[in-house]
Amino acid sequence: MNLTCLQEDLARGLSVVGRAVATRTTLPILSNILIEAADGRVQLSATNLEIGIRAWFESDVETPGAITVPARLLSDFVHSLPTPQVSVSLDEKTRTLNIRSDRYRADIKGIDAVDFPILPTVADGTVFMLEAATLKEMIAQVTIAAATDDARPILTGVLTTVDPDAGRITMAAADGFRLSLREAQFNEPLDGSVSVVIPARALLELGRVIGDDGDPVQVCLTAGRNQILFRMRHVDIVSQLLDGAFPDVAKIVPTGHGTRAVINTKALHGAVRIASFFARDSANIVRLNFVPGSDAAPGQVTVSAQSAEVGGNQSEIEASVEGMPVEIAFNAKYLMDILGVLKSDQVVYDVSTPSSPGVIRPVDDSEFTHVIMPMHIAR
Amino acid sequence: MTAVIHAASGDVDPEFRLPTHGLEAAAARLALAQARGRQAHASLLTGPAHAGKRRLARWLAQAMLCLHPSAGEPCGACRSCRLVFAGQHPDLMVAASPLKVDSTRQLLADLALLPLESPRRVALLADIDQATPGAANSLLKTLEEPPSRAVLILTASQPERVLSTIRSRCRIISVRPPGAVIVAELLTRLQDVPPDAAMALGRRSGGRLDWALAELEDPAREQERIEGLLLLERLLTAPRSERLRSAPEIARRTDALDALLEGWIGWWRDLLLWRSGLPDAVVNRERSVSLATFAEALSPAAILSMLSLTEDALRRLRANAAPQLVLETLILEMPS
Repeated sequence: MNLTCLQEDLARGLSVVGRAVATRTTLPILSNILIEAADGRVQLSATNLEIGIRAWFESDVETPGAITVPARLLSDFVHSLPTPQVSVSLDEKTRTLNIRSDRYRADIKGIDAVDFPILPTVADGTVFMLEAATLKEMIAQVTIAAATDDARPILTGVLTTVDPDAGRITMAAADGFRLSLREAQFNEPLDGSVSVVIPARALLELGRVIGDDGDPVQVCLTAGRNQILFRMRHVDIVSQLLDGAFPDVAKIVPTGHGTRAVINTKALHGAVRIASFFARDSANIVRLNFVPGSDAAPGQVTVSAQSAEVGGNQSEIEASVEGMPVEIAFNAKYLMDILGVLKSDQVVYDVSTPSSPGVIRPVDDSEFTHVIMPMHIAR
Repeated sequence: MTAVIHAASGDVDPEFRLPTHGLEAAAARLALAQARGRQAHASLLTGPAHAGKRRLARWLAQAMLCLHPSAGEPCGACRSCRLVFAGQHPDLMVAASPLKVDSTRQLLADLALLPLESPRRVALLADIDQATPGAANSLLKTLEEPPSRAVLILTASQPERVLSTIRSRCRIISVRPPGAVIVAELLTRLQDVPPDAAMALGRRSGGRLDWALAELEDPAREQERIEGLLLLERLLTAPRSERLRSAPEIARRTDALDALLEGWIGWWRDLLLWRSGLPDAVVNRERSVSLATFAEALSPAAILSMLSLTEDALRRLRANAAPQLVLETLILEMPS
């Protein structure tokens, strides 16, 4: 391998793929980045066996070749180079990568490229396109509800289903306390439907990488349906899929409601944030008191938190409330998570009893549904 | 030294390279189940320490991951087998032993992903009997309902210390050591150990090939064993007061106690053999002179009683009894 490239390109590529480098692993090769050079293109890949990232850029490749070298060392060195041009060559015999740039040079010892796990390519399976902005929004709205601990691994994933006949793509995540369900229009022709569970960590990484350039994201499901690949202009993200039975999300969403409130999103978010300060010492419990309006007064929602040691607070928000008056407690963190990813000015908040889940939806959009389990309040 | 057994090339994890020498019967049974597509989602390999459980577990894992298995056995040549040899297979997860709860959770989360290169994902969990209670409990859910393409292979030298809820969720495979004669044969054939020495080592190992190989590889173990026997002989001739004084000192070497008592059991057995007129059958030949002396001085009943007391002591130690107490009791019971 022998090539010349821009330091900027190489450094950017290393930063992107560096996020997939395994930090603690039993396989030494996973702490390495795979560098492949061929046909005027340099390709960098890293994987921690859950997420794989591949990035590529144009460069002047004299002789093709491939090697894996320790990610951190290579990345730190390349990022520190002040010069615009970098020459890279590989000594095949000693598996040593030589990097030169003006007066700086380094030799980095590598591991043979053939042992690196094989990342799939687009040619391997079912391919369809998704709109970048929609995908990014879906990821932001759904991944908040995915579980972060590994007690039930399947819940750390996002159930993604594509039904080309109905023209819908659906993403859902649930951690046992809340559920996020987002649908979107899907107009691609596709053979058969798709139903896979993608680790939320991989989707968050994808959300970070999706550019604002508006290019659609090419999605590819490998033939064995073990992996999913998202291709953007200069980056591929490959995610291993989760294996197991995902809970039936349709059953979790309550169908009826006793009280419906339409509330200003920002006002509610602000009130919950203030209440969360007082709820820190009392298991994050904030109480929402829904008071229906009458002829004389508009309805309101009171957000309050109490803690035996520090005190309490109460905020009143004007809202249109229909139905029975009711007081329900929720976890402040969950409320802030959902209110933080809603773009709509107003939210519809459906509740029925203090022990049944609350449903939050944007007022102008029926494609997103969020369900939160209430907290038990001792009286 | 194990690399001699199989002409190894490149960066090979020697433990992965060892084939199923001496464990052919168990391996054949597993291969048959494998070839008939009847592999269990979880297997528990049980048998004495150093009997080759871990070696067989790795072989089984390799067979399950192999891309071109023939009759349930790994081909040894495909990309998957090569990666297993090199300890680089992405679908093989080897848990650090003893198992702790955090690393187990991490492993189970990795196991929930679909396989990357092979038809399955395999997790090797060695010495499950040494696992912390938290780690053992965290396995239950996955053992009960494993992800569809995941396979767990567990090993335990003391199955009675494994949670019954784990045992009942696994196919149990008992790994029987090949026996002294076969071990001696293998040692001569593979490692060029002279037949006499090979037989002695085979006997000493209790017929366990992996134990014999470990001793061949690490001469310090042999030294340690002989020192352990010298200590026993010294204790037998020492006055009670001195014996009692030495107990806490011995008890402090917690890691070596198991091997020490195993050595003592062998010595008492030799003494009994000597006393019964079978001096050729003894394991600790280098101690013949003192064996002869002690055999003369002690009655068969006393020797037999010490043999069973020492075995009891080892059992208690393994059951987590206080080492000093166990040793004091044992040492004070020794005939003077």
